[in-house]
Amino acid sequence: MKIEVLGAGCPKCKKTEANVREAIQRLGISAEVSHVYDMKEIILRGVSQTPAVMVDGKLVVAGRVPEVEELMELLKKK
Amino acid sequence: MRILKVILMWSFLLFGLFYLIYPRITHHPLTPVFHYANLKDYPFLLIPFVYVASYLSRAWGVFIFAFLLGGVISSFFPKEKMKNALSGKKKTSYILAALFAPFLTVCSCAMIPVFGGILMAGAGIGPAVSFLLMAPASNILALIFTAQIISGKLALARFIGSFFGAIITGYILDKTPWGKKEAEKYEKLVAQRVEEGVERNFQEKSIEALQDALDLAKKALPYLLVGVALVSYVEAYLPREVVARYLTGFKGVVLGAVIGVPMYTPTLVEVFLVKALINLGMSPGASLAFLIGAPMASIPSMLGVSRIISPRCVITYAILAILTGIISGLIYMMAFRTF
Repeated sequence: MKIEVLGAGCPKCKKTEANVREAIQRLGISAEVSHVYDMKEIILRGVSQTPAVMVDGKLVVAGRVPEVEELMELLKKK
Repeated sequence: MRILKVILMWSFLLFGLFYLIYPRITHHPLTPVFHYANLKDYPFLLIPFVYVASYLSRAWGVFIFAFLLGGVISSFFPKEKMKNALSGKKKTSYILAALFAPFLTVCSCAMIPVFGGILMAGAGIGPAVSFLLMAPASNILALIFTAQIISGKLALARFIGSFFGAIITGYILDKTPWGKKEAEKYEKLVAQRVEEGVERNFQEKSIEALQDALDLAKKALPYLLVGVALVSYVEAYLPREVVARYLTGFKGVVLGAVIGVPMYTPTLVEVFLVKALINLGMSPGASLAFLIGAPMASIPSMLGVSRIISPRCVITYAILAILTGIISGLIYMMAFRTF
């Protein structure tokens, strides 16, 4: 699974990445997490609300910090 | 624990509102206010502390109210729906873009993606630029602080001036060949949507609002406090004669709109800087020009935007933004006969 966190490095984006990592750890799954900081790259992906989370290229959260429990639910479905 | 956070958030917000309204009715501040007599009488190193302490005693409730309101806006407002209303090449997109801008972004770091989103929605570069200029010049926090620290009249003028300026600038850029070229570049992009939106209830949104408010404060307060501390030296040592000579009348309006551009003032600090200059004798017209010109054409935001659209477009809108500041200042000067 490939998880990407999108956001230009504001506190909310950092929190989102931390929550994603914690959700993965708690679920005990292996996933590749990366963080896209570049604004142009974010726009080219069609995302206009940050922080955002993409799983395997699909947008799952946009414009807010998802909680760990919520992310666990989301990732379980995948 | 969760319910406690919800209660905390709303009661603090209401308290902040009470703090703002109370002096308007009773003509007395809610809490004792610390005034300094003459800044220069204090030891050099103490000046910033005296200055910041004075502001905190006068405006601590404003800080609470503004940041919490920012949090409420960012978590309760249907941002996605607002953005979708901007799609299509309708003339109303301009008005909506300028009207929504103060609510779509409370923090400037989210500005550029939304700008890209408007471009992708197919509204063209015009409304996108209107949004981009209106967001920093007239966001809710900036307006609240302008009204509380300077005056309600100037806050209203700041809103009206940047509103029309943003729309006209966007419209002009939309008509230029280089503006059209940029719009085409992004039209083909398809906006991604969240597949299954989780409906969050009132409680969850309230908690998120509190968290957003704290994040906002964490991000803005350090810059704001350091900025205000530095402003204290301007107020203490900038000679009144210099301000009277350069920051009044027609020349003052032009300079007011221009000097803010290289002087990168972090969000909200511009309000305190202008207040200090007003105390030294800057005219209201020049103040308005600064409050509109500086945030619209700030160099860091221009650098960020030039990653997305061509530098030529950025320079075009920056020049028009400075003109907006100048024209707004001049109109204010003529309308209220204050030079």
